[in-house]
Amino acid sequence: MRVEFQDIHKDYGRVRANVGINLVLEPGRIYGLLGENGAGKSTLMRMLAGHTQPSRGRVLFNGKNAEGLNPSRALAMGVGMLYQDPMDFPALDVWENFRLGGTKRDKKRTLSRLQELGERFHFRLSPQEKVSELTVGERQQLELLRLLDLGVKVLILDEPTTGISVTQKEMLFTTMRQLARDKGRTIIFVSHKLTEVEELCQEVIVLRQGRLVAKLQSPFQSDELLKLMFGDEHGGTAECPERSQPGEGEFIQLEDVQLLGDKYILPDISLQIRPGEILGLAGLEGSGQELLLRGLAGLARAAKGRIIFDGEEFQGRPYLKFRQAGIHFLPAARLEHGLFPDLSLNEHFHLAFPPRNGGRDNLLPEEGIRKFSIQGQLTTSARALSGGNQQRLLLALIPAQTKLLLLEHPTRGLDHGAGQQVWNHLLGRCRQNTALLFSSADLDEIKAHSHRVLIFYNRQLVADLPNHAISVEEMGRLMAGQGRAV
Amino acid sequence: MSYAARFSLSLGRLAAAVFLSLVFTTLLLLVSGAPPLHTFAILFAGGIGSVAKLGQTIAVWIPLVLCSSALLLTFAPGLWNIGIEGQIILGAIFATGFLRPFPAGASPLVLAGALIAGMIGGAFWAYIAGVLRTWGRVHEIFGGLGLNFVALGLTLWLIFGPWRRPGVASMSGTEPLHPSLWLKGIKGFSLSPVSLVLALLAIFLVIYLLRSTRWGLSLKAVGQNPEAALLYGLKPNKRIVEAMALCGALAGLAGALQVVGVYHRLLPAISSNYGYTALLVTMLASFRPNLIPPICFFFAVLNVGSIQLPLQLKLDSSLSGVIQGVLVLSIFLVHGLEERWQLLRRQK
Amino acid sequence: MFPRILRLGIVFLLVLAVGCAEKPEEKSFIFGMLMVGPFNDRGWSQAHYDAGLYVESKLPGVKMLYLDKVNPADRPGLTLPQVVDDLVSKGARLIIANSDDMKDGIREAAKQHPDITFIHVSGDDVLTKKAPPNLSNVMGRMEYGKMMAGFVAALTTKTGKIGYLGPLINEETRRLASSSFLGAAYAWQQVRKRPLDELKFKVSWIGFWFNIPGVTADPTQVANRFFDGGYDVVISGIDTTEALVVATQKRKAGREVWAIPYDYKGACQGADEVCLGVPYFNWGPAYLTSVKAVRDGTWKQTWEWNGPDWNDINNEDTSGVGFLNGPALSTEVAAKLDSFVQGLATGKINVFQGPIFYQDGTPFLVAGETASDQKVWYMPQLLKGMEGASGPK
Repeated sequence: MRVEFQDIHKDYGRVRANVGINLVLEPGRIYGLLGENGAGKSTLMRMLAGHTQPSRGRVLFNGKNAEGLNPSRALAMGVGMLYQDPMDFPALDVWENFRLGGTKRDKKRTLSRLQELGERFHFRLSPQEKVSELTVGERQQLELLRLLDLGVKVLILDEPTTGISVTQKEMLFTTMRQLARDKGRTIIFVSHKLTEVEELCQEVIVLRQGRLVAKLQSPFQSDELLKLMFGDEHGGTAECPERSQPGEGEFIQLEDVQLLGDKYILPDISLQIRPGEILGLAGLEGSGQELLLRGLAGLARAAKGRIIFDGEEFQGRPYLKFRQAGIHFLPAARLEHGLFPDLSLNEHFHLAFPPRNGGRDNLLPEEGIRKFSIQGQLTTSARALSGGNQQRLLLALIPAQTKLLLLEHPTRGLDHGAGQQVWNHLLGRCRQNTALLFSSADLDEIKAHSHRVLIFYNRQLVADLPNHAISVEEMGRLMAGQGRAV
Repeated sequence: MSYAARFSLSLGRLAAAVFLSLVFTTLLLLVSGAPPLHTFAILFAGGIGSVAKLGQTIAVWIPLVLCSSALLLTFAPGLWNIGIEGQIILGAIFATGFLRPFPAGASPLVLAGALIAGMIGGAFWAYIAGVLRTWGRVHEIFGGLGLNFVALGLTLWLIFGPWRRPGVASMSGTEPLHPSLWLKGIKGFSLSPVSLVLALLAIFLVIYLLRSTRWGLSLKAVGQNPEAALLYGLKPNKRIVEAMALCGALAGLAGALQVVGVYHRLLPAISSNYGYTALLVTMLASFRPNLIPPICFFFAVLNVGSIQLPLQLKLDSSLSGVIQGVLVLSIFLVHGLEERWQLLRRQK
Repeated sequence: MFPRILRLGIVFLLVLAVGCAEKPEEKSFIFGMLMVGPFNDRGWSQAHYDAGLYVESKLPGVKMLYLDKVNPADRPGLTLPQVVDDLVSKGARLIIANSDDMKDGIREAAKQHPDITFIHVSGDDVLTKKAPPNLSNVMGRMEYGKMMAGFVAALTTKTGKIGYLGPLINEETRRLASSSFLGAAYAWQQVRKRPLDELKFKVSWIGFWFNIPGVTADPTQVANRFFDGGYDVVISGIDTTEALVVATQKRKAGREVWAIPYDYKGACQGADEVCLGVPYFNWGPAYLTSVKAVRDGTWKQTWEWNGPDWNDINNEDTSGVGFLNGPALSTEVAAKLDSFVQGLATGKINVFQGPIFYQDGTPFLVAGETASDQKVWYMPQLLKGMEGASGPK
């Protein structure tokens, strides 16, 4: 289906999310949609999928004006969107999910249709399994099959490669190519990973500050794309501040620790961490790195082994003891797990720094807001802050005496500049001998900032290597469970 | 938004809701053939028309304020303490139990003891709901409803069994307390100054706790985000149980006051549904403490005034219940309309 | 918008304050009636309500103010002294409280209003000397009505099993259940000439005067259990008409059953197939006397226990209790009932005559002894031959 955007404007109050976008998408092609956070990618795609309406301008499907589009009408007209977090029902079986919203079929027909589609794309889904048992990649595959079964002609994929394995990614890309070539479907691939866009897409559309700044044909120049995405002030490849040298001594030791999580067990971890050392944790989502971070924070129980901080055994102690010992954990989802949406900045500081604990060396709210350049006032609620400001608030709330910082995806969802600020602060802390463990889906980030890299696969720690001893490509292979040529 | 702006917004919403429910009730009255203005006049005069009536209204206001402000404590950490009904009942049971050894009367000290016993009873019942929630992972709505039934069952068993009146097997209630154990009102005024002072103390205590203490802030934090509260070391489970227990204590006090100040005995309907009414009040107040006393007063006026409907107009007194219910629905409707309107405005 | 609403509100309140100051009507006499159940319950409360209307019709210028459903379950938070305050402020000079349950509340209210006259129906505060001087007790001698009910039940039953749907257990209810039993026993032995051990008479108590869902036993279920258990006549002792309703349903389902309601003269209406008749209270004459006495300033404290007018037990101006034959009563049984009533009237028949034993075997009346009022009023147990609880377990 041919999709045409004509002079699309979208305003949210004073924010101009899309400004005068004119764009034609032809059937049978794979488009990459690039842009940093807040560039207007999601707004544009949400309009196409009917979740929101343009303030001005129109969207045409095969030359016909699609006015008053809503999600179900968009789907009926053939626009399907594959979300980063697939919209499925974890409690249902695979086949039941597949049937949802589709043509009415009995179980037998549903199963055969699911099998037929699955075979065509070489997806191996067991229909009777619960969706909650599937990996993110498998859930994506299921959702993809469901959309195809509904007969979508335009397929939008929103950051689809986050959290799936290399093999699954390869399969996804093959499927995309197949769909575009054989079936004439229009595919829009929303991503901020240049390499993937370069690998998959025939054309790339770059948005910046709500405007369409370029529409380029393959092959692409990475430098040029970066410049288009971030403007001229961006110097090209991500530059990171100098890494500090870790201090001496092993202040944290893990001896044959077995950690119990809600969903799985992480066995036999042995690890030494020096003050000021930075460890990057790589692994597909659910491979074990989350549990290690939580275990070190005292949030997951150690069933076996010893956890030693500064010569003291901590296994089996409650979370508060870990916290008092100077261990601080920042979860991935900031607003969901780390902040109190309707409480003010002032209240956050009060909660984080109890007055009686002699935390005088901690920040006063006013200082914190200034020092971390948080765009808000004492009475501003956390909900009202932008992602970058929320992350800076979390950083400001880290107690001064923290000795071990555990971070999940410290820059996820942040744009380049905000991410850089986060790392500036973190590295500053490490220079003061705070050790740092962080997980990230972005292997470049791990490569850029760690002293050591821990790699997880299949709920096991499979590698613990100094940064210089491993390349990003090798990390990717190890994460995918492929052996490493030593 | 500034505090004053938010306050006047809640007030404005409330006014709009009152207006809406008045319109609805007027329609209802017209349909049932009663003159609306006259009906409202009688209803309100029945609640505030004389000093004695005002006294009665305040006597209803007291347990409502106790329960509503108690509920603020549990709403802060995001708990729906529907079990407050049972907590009132347990307060009444404990107070009655405490006074049973004194059939021939006793000193006011014993009376004070009964009030404390009531608070312990309510707190104990709420503590169970809190522990069920934090340890047993039973949602407090289900735990609370279950405990309400158990509390009512316990009352019935006591009234029909161990605490029955000699030679009588009736659900109507236990033997009345000795008059020296009644919390008496001022002459000609069915209202005890002690109860009034206790209710006022309760609401000020709750406001102080929620506004000016770290404990209160922690409760709000737990309500906002339990996971983050855990990370901040705020001990969410402990906070939840504490909030429940304190709420239960105040509800239990209300129950004890029902026994010593109103009915002078234990009866099955001892809670008078004040717990459920208080839930409505708290929702209507959008969980703002300073709106609790006026709304409780309004509800008390409706409760007391409703007797006039059958007396004077031969109308069913459930009309006042209808008004209360419609009010709460209206406030949600106003809230919803407001959001819709803002959404529309944003989209334009 | 908000300030305007506020202003409207203030105006509204002012109008109220000015317009609604309560002014008791002058020159007329007002009496108040507090009923435990709905005024139209076709039972206990309606009998009182109708008596109030009767007084109004007999004495021009007398007006009744009433409040029904005066019980904590129906009107949460309401206490009896409060309602009394209200009635007094509306000008009531005499207040009638119609429930056993109001005993303590009405005594308290009477003490608070020494210048107002109170009547507590079914109570004994005057007997026990607990009553302040402005409080009287009134009750009807329902024993007779209940005997008649028991009498027709025993003559009608085919299975020999009579059920008694009892309210709560106290002296009054034991007395009435026992009277029904004695009436039934008389009919069974003297008229049907059968041995008493072939008659089953079972009492099931629900726990209150009427159904309070979740608190009392459900009378509908209790009645159903009776009929399903082979009891083909159910005598109701509660304020409401569940026994009749259930019996009618069973009739529709082809079962041959009957029921005897209670309290209210018109209770049989609409239950033609099953209603054997109703023992009822006729409060009108007693209330008329009291209202007149209070109005004329001649009232004196009494403990009244009003019996039927034996010349015509159904005379609405003279008889305190009555028994109205129901449509389902056979003419044959009706004739026998007439002679039974004749016997009672002349004193030839007295079912409260020994030897009668309590349920636990101890003697209630020795051979030849007849019961004093006191002994009947304060009935401590059910009688031997009756099945069911005598008191709380």
